[in-house]
Amino acid sequence: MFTSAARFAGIAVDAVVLKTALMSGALAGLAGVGEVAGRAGYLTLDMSPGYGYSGIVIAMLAALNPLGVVLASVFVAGVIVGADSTSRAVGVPTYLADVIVAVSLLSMLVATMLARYKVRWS
Amino acid sequence: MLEVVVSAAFWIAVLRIATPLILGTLGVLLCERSGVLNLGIEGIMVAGAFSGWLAVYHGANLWTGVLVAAATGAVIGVLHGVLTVVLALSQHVTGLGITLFATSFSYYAYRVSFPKVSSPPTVTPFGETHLLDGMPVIGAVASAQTPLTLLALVAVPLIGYILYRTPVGLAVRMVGENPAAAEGQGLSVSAVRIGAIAAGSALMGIAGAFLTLSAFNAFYFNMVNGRGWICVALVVFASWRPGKALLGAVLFAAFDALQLRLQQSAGATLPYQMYLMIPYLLSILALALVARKAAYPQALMKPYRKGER
Repeated sequence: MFTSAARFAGIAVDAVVLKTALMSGALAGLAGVGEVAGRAGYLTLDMSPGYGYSGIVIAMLAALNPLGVVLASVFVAGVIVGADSTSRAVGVPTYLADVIVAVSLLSMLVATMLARYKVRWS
Repeated sequence: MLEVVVSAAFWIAVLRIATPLILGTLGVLLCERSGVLNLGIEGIMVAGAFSGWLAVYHGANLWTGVLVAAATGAVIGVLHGVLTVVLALSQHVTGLGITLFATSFSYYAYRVSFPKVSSPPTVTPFGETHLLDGMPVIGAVASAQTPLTLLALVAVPLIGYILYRTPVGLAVRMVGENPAAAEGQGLSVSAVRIGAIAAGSALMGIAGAFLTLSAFNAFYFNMVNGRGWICVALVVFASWRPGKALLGAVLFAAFDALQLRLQQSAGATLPYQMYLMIPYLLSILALALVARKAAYPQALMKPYRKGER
């Protein structure tokens, strides 16, 4: 966020960025192997129904807080599982889950921005 | 391999593959020239493909369908503009949110409109134009194209002219390079940016409509299939210039058409996914070579707040 300040403080910015990208990729890889080796036990071409994008959404819903990620993942998982049951019970298309997740992402972004302002009655 | 590359059939396929890329790339280019990244393109293409096709399916004229797709794109573009320009939200995340929303909403609306269909409902798509029949060399290639391809080819010089030779284009480039100076000249940065995003997104909508009204005759899930992301990369490859955008789109399409023929050629021993990778590998390579010295719009991804230094 403050690249030049960090550089001035003696932080090797490029190295930090590179290491962060490596760690982030490693975690994403772990998520993939967890799905294949832990849950399914076999590899198919469509094993991830857009989990990667959900990851971006969850990170923002959690306001980039690692603890918040737990809550946000449970929320998104609840929406996905709920859409599956709704689809089976009353035939609502499962794509509704992604619509809800997308709308909550955009609402969260707007809400976070507006929270920086103060309402004054004058 | 040489006889493949000089055949008319090959170049017909190249132009057909290139059309949505040209329109989409011009759309991204307009947005980014005004200083706003629009990662909503993938979703806007899906929404344009669906809405244009739905209008034609319900009896509208094909060109009305194209207009509906453009209007859908523009509306989503205005939403992106309000979120990123007026509210100054992160352009990456907003764009991805718009893509997720537009894609899933289109799929949802499709499933609600057609709950149980085994084969997708179809429309009669645009036919070949036969405008330049009998012209030497390019006649065979040009007349096998549909009107939207010709529209895309005309749009390239048109966008170039607007950007470099008209006051509107100057305003768009100015808010993308130095919004404070533009504001000093009495321009409204927000209005110009939102206008540029709406126009660019309308082009993305038409790019989507090409898929359902020209290339195919029905709406399929995953039919946009990453074309939007390719357009975002092509704009960098093109150094934000319309002419180079056309070159990049045709180059990518040529590699795509070539890998399709390599897959089918005799003696192909590699799995076909290896050939599918070729155009994408080459675009990463081209980006790595070109992007270093690209002169990107100076205010790209920098939200403008009045009165802030």
